[in-house]
Amino acid sequence: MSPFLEIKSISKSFGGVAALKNVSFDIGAGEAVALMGGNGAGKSTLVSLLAGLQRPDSGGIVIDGAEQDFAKPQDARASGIETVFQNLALCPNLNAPGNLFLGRELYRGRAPFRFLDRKAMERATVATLRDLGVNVPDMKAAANKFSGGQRQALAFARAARAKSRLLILDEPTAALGVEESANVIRTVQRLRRERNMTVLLITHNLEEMRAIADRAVILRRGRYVGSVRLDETSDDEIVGRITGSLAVREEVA
Amino acid sequence: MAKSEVLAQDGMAENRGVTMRIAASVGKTLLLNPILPILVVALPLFAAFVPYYATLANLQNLLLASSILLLLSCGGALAMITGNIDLSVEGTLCFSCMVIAWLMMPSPPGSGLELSPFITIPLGILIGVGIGMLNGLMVQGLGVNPFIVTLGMLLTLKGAAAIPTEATTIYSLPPTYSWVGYNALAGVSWVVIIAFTVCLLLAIWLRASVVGRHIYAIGGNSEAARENGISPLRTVMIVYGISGGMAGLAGWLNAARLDSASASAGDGITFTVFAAIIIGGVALSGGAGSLWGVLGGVILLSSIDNVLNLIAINPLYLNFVRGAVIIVAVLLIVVRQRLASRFRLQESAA
Repeated sequence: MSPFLEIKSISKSFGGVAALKNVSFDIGAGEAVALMGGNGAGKSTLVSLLAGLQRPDSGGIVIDGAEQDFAKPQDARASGIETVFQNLALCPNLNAPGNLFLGRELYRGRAPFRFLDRKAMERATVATLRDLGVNVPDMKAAANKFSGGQRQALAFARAARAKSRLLILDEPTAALGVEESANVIRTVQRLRRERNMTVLLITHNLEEMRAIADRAVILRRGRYVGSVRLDETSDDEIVGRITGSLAVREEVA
Repeated sequence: MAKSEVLAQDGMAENRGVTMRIAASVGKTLLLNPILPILVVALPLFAAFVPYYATLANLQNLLLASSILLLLSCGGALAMITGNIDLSVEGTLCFSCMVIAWLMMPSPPGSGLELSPFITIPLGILIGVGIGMLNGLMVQGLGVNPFIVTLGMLLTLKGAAAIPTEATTIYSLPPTYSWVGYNALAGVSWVVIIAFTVCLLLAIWLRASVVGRHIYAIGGNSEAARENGISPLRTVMIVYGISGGMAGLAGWLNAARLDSASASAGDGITFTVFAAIIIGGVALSGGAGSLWGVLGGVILLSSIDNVLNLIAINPLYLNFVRGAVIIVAVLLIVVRQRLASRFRLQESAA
């Protein structure tokens, strides 16, 4: 499997505190990798670098062999990286099309007179939601009228566009009920099956990890600890590696 | 939400007549518009019971008196929709027109530079934009509380406006500068035409443009907007820049109308500006409201002042009545919001 995403010796510090120290690993095209680690392991920092919210202090992100420099979220999206943030990143006062096209509105005209193309956004939203089997009853209702599951679905629909190749899911089911969590897992499985979507899953939930991912990459206190194939690794071993109670044994996937 | 869906939700009978449809539609419109119900009740009452209120001459007066308030309120409303506040507009109005008058006039009381109004009018607006962008930079770039930043800016500017002329009022501004204050088109003062046109265009731009959408997004959830690649710094600086520019424009129109510039220009208008914004339905927490509502708030407040004038109320009671009316108006708006949410009529902001 040729690597789709290569993370090369990335380091990032915040005010002298190192969040990531020289972290490197690859994700193959179409692979689903779970990023595991305790609090302060550096998972969220890595997500923010991949989503273009921050730049690494050193090291690089390579996609399909091409070095990337994400100065803003749009750059990451242009490379096919889409993120479903833990907080879902929805605006409660905007409707479904408003949220689906947040930061990348369809428009006519030139800056600073770019005018929203509401019809086109609405049409595309209806099509996207239908495609994912999401039911949003009212296109004009603001997102604060949506249920938790509908919000999650909206954030998913935004990330799972035709052009997206890597889907980053930051604790996608942490705030959901049992049924809604099962829905999310089914949707991810479908996206992998139908579109060969590459997935990077951040989770604390071992069951979710096994349902979605092929492989787990483990971080501890900002360092890369190792990578294990899930079909040959027990939960106990993964937990041991996350907490550091098991000795580090490098494996190459 | 289509009208028919609303009706269905309300559980009304299926076979309703046209009258019912219209009634429901009117009811919905009244509940969704923050200011409209009050205007619909208040303005006919004024027209019926206040002598001279509904005359052409008084209407012209009313619009003229609304113009400055409208410009400042629309600018301030933009800042509030992003979840911030701009208390400095009165200071910007005062400072920009004072600096401009000083640059235009012979010495004393001016600088003796006698710059052309064709330079100073745009310059006055640009000064406002600059002040606003500085506000925006401090608020969003440095993370200083917008209340403190803009309140400080208000005091600073009002103080600075008195410095060049040592607090003396400058009279008899150049005729080219004051032309808009003394000329009219079809009976409508150019001050009114300029102020209302600018605010109308701004209202459309806020609703229909991509940047306008970003303004609502920042007010709804700044972090979500940022995660989706909308720059809060850029958007907030644009908003404060527009607010300052509107205040600079208001400074010109106000000075032209009075044919004088003074360090006390606009004194005390800040309270009325915020009353108009709140009555106009802009949420203090940001993310909701429209400039159409603000326009309604401005018309209502100007009408109240106008009526108090017409009935020749004892000036002793003026502020008392004004304040009480504003409190009542805000209470009505809260009741309306409760009703609207009971009938599930809340729609998305943009």
